[in-house]
This record gives sequence, C-alpha cells and structure tokens, in this order.
Amino acid sequence: MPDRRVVVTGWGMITALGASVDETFEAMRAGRSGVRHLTRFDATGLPCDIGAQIDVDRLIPAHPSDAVGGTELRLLRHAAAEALRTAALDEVTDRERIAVAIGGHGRVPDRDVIQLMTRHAREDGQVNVDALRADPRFDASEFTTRSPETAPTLLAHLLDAQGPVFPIVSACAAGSQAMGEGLRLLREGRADVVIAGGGEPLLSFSYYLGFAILGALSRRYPSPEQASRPFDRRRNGFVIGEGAGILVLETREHALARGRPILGEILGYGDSADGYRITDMHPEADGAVRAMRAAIDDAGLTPADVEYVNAHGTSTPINDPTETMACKRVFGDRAAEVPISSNKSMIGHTIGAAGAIEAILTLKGMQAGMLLPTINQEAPDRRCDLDYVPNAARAREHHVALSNSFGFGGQNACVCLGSAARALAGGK
Amino acid sequence: MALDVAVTATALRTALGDDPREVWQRVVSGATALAPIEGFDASGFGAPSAAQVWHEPEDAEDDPALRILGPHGRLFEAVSRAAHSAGGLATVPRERVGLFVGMGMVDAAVHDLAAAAQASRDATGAFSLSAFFAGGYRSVHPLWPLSMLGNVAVGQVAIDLDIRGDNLVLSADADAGLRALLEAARSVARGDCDAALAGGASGRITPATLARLALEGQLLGVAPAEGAGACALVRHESDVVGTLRILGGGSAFGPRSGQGPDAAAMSRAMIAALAEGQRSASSCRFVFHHGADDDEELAAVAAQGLAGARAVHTKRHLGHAGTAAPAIDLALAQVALRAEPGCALILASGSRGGTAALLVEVA
Repeated sequence: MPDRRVVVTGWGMITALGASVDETFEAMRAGRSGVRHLTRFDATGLPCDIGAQIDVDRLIPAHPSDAVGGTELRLLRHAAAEALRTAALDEVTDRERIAVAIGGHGRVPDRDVIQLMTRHAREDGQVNVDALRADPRFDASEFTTRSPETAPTLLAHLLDAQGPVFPIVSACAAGSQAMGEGLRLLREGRADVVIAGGGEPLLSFSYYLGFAILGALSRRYPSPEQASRPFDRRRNGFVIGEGAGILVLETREHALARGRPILGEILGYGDSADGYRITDMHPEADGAVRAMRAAIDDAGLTPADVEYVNAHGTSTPINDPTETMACKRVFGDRAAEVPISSNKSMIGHTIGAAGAIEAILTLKGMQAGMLLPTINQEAPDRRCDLDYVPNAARAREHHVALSNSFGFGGQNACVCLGSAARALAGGK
Repeated sequence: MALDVAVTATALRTALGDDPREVWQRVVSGATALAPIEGFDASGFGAPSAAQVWHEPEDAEDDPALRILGPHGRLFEAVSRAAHSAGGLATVPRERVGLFVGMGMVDAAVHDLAAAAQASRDATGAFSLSAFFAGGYRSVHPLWPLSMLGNVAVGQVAIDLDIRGDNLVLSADADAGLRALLEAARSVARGDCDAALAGGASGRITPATLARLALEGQLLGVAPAEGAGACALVRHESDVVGTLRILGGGSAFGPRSGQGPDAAAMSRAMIAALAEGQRSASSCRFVFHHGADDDEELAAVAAQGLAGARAVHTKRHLGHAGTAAPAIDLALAQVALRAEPGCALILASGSRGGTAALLVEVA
C-alpha cells in the first residue's frame, strides 16, 4: 500500500511582522503587533485608517511577470521562494506531478481605474465607452491582469509546476481550502507534490474602501496596535492585513524517499457551508462545528486528541463568541482545557492568505513547543470564556491542532495538523 | 477505478435557450446566438458580436438579492434551482449535499461608484479623492463590496437551496468550470457528500469585461457569451437506461507562447480522463472541443486517437461562456449521448495555460 499520509516539507510567508516564517513567528512569540496607520494611501476621511501592511522594501525583487500578476503574484513569489528553498523542490524532476492550489481573489480596480471610469460616467451611471476608449490612460488589458487565476497560474508557470492549478476564491476560507484540496490531490495519487497557500494584496484603495463601507473594520481603537483584539469585550471589527503563505505538501513516502526533513503533517480536512447568511455566521455555529468535526474525523482522531486550536478569531463582535461556542460544542467538557489563540490579533486578517499563514504558524508552534498568544486581552467577554493564551506566548509541547477558517459567504474550512515528531513516529 | 457518478439532472441558460434538447437541436442545425452587443457601443473592442443572456431588471437598483448575487449570480441561481429540483437534491440531508462552482470573473461594479463620484467633484468639476473620502463615499451602496468576492453568489445559492456540505469555488477560466464538475464528482465518489450540485456561471459582458473576453474569444475563433449551467450528481447505483455518468477526468498546466495551454498539457488531461474512466479513445462518440479552430487542441485530440469521434464546437453557436461552458457542454452531451450512446470527452482550457478533460458516458 502506498503511504499517502501528507506531510509539509517547505513553508514560506510574508506578513506585516516579517519577511519569513521565522521572523513572523519570533515577532508573534514576543507579542508584537504589525498593525499601523496606513501609509500606502491617504485614508483621511474614512472611518478607519489602519492596517497590517507588509514592508514592500523587504519583498523579493520585482519580476517582469509582476507587471501582469501584480502585487498578489509578488507576494506569492516571495512566500514560494522560501517554501521551495526549504523543501529543495528543485530536486523534483517530474514537474508534471507538481500541482498548485492557491487561495486569493485577484485584484479589484485600483484608485486610478475607478477615477478613470467615474470620470467617463454618464449622468445615468453608465460608462461613456467612446470617451473611455479615447482616453490615453485607459488600458484595455488591465482587466485581464486582475482575474483570480492570473497570479496562481503565473506562479505555476514560474515554478514550472505542470500539474493541476486550483485558483480558489472562497474568501476567508480559501487558504485552508487550498490545503484541503492539496491533501485530496495527494491522497488520491493525482500529484506527488502540491504547492498550496494563499496571497492577498488587500491594502489597496478599493478593498479597503469596500470593507470599510461594509462596516466590517475596527473603527474604535486607542492605538493601531490595540485595534485587533479577538475575544476581548472591546473588539469592534477586524483589521485588514496583507501577506502570503505557501506550504509544500507531499506524501510522506515521497518526502522520505528524497530525504527531506518533515516539518509537520496535514492530518485531516473538513469543510462545510453555513447556508445561513452571507456576512453572519450561523448563530449556533453549525457550519463551524461540522467543519471542525469533519477535519478531526478525516484525521482518524477524536476531539480528545486535539491539543490546540488556531482560531479564525477575527475580532468581530459575531465571530469570536460564535467560534467559542463551536469549540464548546466540539470539545465538550474539555473546551476550557484546549488553548485557543488568534494570530489575527497581531497580523490582521489576510482573508484568502489567512488559512495558509495560520497553518504554518501552528506547525511552527508545534516545532518550537510554543503556543502563540492572542494579544490585546484586557476586558473579558462573558461569552468568550475559554483559554485564549492571553497576551503572552506559552511554552507547551503539543502535537495535534486544528486551524479554523470561516469565510464571508458562509464557507467554512478546517485543517487538522500534526507535528513533525508525530509524523516521523509513524502513529495514526 | 472509474468515478462512476450519475448525473440526475442538468440545467442551462444560453442565448440559444434554456432547454438542453432544444439548444442541442439548434446547435446541430447550425443556429447561432451571436448578435450585436446591446447595452453599450462595443464596436471599438474588436468583438461587436456576442451571445448575451442577461437583461438588467428595472428594479435592479432596489433589489438586495440582485446586488448580492450580481447578474452572473442570478444566472447561476436559476440553473442551480432547476437542477436542484429536477435532481431531487431536496430529499438528501442538507449537510450531505455539496456545492462546486466555477465562477466567472466577478469584478467590482465600478459603475456603482458613479453616484459617489458625482458627489465628489471639486470646484472645477473634476473628481476629487479627498472629497470622495470626506463623504462622497457614503453614497456607495453598503452591499457594493460583496460584489468583489467570487464566492458570495455561491454562498447565496447555498442559503436559498439550503445546501450545507462540502464545497469549492474556483475562478475564473473555463478549465476552472470543468474542474468544479470533476471535484464534485470526486467528492460524491469519495463519500464526502451523498449528492452535489455543480456548475458554473460566466462573467457578464460589460465594457470592462469585454476586453478580456474579446481577446480570448478572438484567439479561439469564438465570440464572448453569457450563460450558466448546473447539474445534480449522485453516486451511480442503478442502471437506469439513459443515465449520464461521469467516469473520470484529468487536468494539467502548460502555457503555450501566446495564450492557452499547449498540446502536451491538453494531451495529459485527456489521457488522465480516459485512464481514470477506464475507456479507450475509440469508445468516444463525441469530443466537445474547447476552442473552435485551435490547432493545438486539434493536434492533441488527434494524437490521442480521438479524430474518429464526432467533433462538437458548441462555442461556434453559443459563444464562449467561459467558466459556464463545461456545464453547458455537459448538459448538451447528455442529450447527444442519449441519442447515440457511448462516451463523450468534454474539453476546457484557460487563457493562461490550464486545461481539463471530463469523460462521461451513457451506456
């Protein structure tokens, strides 16, 4: 029987707290926040002006393909470079057996395009096409570069990955769904290696404006660093972050055959649809519970085996108590004993990249024997009464964890993760 | 082992009609849905003809559901509702019904900002960003941001049809639409769900989208189209005469210089589909081509010994409905195979090098 257990042999990321996995992890271990006043554009006048921006100067050098794939591609290339280096993926010669699964949403029209389109808007709100075409600033190809498949397919091309490419657009669940689809591809023998992850250049004018109009962003904060406060009573919305995370997944058999160190294991995957409301979670957390249970079942484990939960933990009024309820329903009497923490308290919400970034940080925590904290825990919320690893990292050996991602639109995804030590020990 | 998943219902919306049998007859008889583009002057975009389906309802501005779904979402909702009902999916526990969709490019509706832009002009009448931020933006409809997320329409369909199981949304090329069908079949075959609704919706033809669609359409020799298709899938357990079954599929990536996948990648996808379906090329009665006159695709089809199968080029008649095209082709393949039982291979490719193939059969 082929060994179809799926392990992680490479990882890479860029976030507001660092240009690599180690940099981000160490900053989080110290409880630092990457949230600042925006400098990318002037948001004066909007109800909020903060975000978790990456340091553009730390990004991998520009490549001609970025002209088409934009910042999303550059973020993905940056994370992929670290991941492929870690995994020594150049060693894999059968490139037709390398697949790519990426969560992300392409780009929305930037400020210049919106200005151009609105400049040529007629009184009835429709665009005056003749005037638009005649405007030398109008680039008809601009639309083609913003499509969600553009960056993932260009990444596959640059990495010479010739297997299936999955551009996944399930909002906040997309990064976790990318890993889940990767797990399925490998288990079913449809690929030997999957480059899975997500990338989002969210701190653009249009995305920021959109989420601000939607009322989803934190508007009240004593300082930017204190705005993202999942599970705290004073939370009032999420903070947009940007970044990318990439994992190299392969079967344990394939990894061991080429002598690569194993960094962790994808033990199981579960997903569900809330079927409730577009912007609100099911009040009884039904969809979240089903995704979490499905991931545990898929791993062949029970809730009693789970030692840590990397929460979706957005800092919104609805998500955090609902996710708390989900943990109580899944873990029962053990719920208070299972540490839960939210990376978003420090790097904001990176939407389609979040699942991948948070899975890597979960695996890194297992490697380091460390639980990353949820910062800004000051005012307890009676509806959020579990152990959120408040404010300070905690040393603890652990080997099985869940990473939750619950998306706008009601799509939920959860991955069950295992430590490298566990994968090498050969247990279930 | 072949997938062996049964298609219990199909539904489509095309510019040639909404009934698969009637649309197939029109395709076979050589009818065309292509017509001059309505709604705006598209003569300067190089593709003045298209197969349009969507017409904006008069109450569009005031309809929250329309704003959440968008025109593409409404098309998908219509075919989903039809396939869900005809396929009997309401009798399956809702947690055991999956939803797998290929969504066309869901772009921010820039024209929705027009009112805000009008309210944000400076003394000279020019658009002022500071005026926009100072208050003009408040004229933007609060649901506008949802138009930027490709999965929102799918989430709304899940709400409307009470679907709560395994799910995936891929975007935005035709191969993504075919992979949505294939992953749905795999989910049913694995037992991750008992039944699935799968399909795709095109992007909408607008001045902004036409640039992309026209470029792709020109290169493939076809015009852009709007449309949607959906099907209901269950595990195949009984041999009901005329049942369409999904047997296998494959996908690959290999960009050619220019646009689309190369012949080698398309061949790999076809080989994988035939191998998984445990069928030979000679068993294929039909090949539903992606392109109309794509030399690379024709070479790949010939190289796989499929030249003897009847070549079907639905896009010559229906236009190129992008992510929706594979689900539309699946519905038409069912009609074709019921008349001439055997296998059909459905091909779909993306503009940047992705490609996929789906093997179906009516025994």
